[in-house]
Amino acid sequence: MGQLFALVVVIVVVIVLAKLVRIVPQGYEWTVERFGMYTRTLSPGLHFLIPVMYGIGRKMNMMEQVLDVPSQDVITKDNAVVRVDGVVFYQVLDAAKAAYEVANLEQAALALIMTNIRTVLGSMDLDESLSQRDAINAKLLNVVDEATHPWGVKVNRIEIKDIAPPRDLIDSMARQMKAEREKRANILEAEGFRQAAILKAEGEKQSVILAAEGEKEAAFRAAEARERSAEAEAKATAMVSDAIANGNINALNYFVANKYVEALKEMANSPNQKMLLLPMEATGILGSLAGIAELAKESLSQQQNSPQGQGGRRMPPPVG
Amino acid sequence: MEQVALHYWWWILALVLIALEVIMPGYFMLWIGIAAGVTGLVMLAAPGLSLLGQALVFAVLAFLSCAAYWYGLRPKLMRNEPGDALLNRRGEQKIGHRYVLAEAIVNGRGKARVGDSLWLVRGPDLPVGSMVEVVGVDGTTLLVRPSE
Repeated sequence: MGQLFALVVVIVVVIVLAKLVRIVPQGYEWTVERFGMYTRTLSPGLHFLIPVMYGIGRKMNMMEQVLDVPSQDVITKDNAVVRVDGVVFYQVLDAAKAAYEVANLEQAALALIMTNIRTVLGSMDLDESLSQRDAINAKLLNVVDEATHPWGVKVNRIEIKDIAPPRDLIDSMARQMKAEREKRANILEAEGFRQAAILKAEGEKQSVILAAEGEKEAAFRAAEARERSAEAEAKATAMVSDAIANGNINALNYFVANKYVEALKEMANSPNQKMLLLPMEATGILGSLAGIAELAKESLSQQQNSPQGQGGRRMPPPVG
Repeated sequence: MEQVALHYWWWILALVLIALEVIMPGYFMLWIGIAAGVTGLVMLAAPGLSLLGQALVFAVLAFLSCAAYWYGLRPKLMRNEPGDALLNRRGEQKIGHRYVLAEAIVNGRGKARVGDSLWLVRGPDLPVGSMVEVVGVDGTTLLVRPSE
């Protein structure tokens, strides 16, 4: 009997000691209850708890945890139905509050987040909700963090993973984008044609202007040339009249006669030979020819009679 | 059980307990094991002890060895390897850091931008954008004071 009692004593001692020494692993905090009432929180490490009086209440995970927000259908402001899912990162900062202030922390947090996703997306257009994830996340975080505060929980991050509009909406969005691109392409093409036409017209205008400029320049030059030739003629005339004034009249007469003869030759050579136009003064020319003949006769007879003789030459009739 | 070899039984118990401690650390079997070993030594010194007496000696020694660890050995061990006391304590990690207010502190409550998240802060009323220094933490709320 004594042996049995001793054995029981030893076993009881072992059990008591086993209950006395508590080791809280890193990443957890345990709450301590005295007769069911919360007294304190055990941090990671070794602790001694008096058995019977004190007991371990809840073992809270103090590490950051990830919760998947299940996907749900949400109606946006412009009545599009989209499927939304997300992910939440939260961490218990106050083990006692998280243990006793809320009955089911995960369920409560999820319900809160899901309803708030509905609220936030319900106040946005579809386009907004697709393009402004950051704003959605920030809004959600703001609300949910405030709400979980009494539970000693810090929500570090809420991310909307996927916002999926229904199939037909996606198709029409794609069509819209395609139409947008095509519109842009057409506009660009038309713009190109317009530019080309403008450039062409510009070129033509430029060429016409240049041609006119050329003509104007040419006319100027021609006028200048005429002016020059008139000047030259005037000079020549002046020189001739000078020569006449200073020299013999007979030289002039010779020139004139020469011109008359040349003119006649031209007339005879003209292809219209049926008619020979003679100026009124042609008789004068003929007369001058007679005069030349006479001159010739005289000089011939003189050569026969006296080669040294100097006969008085008859002047050709003056030309008017 | 032979009366003569009784202290061996205690030593066997001691070794088994220590082995158990090594296999599955619970941190209490080690001290009980040591107590059992010492009880064996006591048996060597005073062989005439009754079984109940031995059990009582063992119980007293077990508690004593635990107390010796708790009050004698543990402070020294803690001093030598403090570990990271701030691990898993997001709030305490921020004490001494400076942050910018994302929302003005009105009636002692506001929000500060910490990393890419917002934290609730308590402190004197301050406008948005002012710098605050964390001086303490209360649950999920940082206690701040204006920082120059």
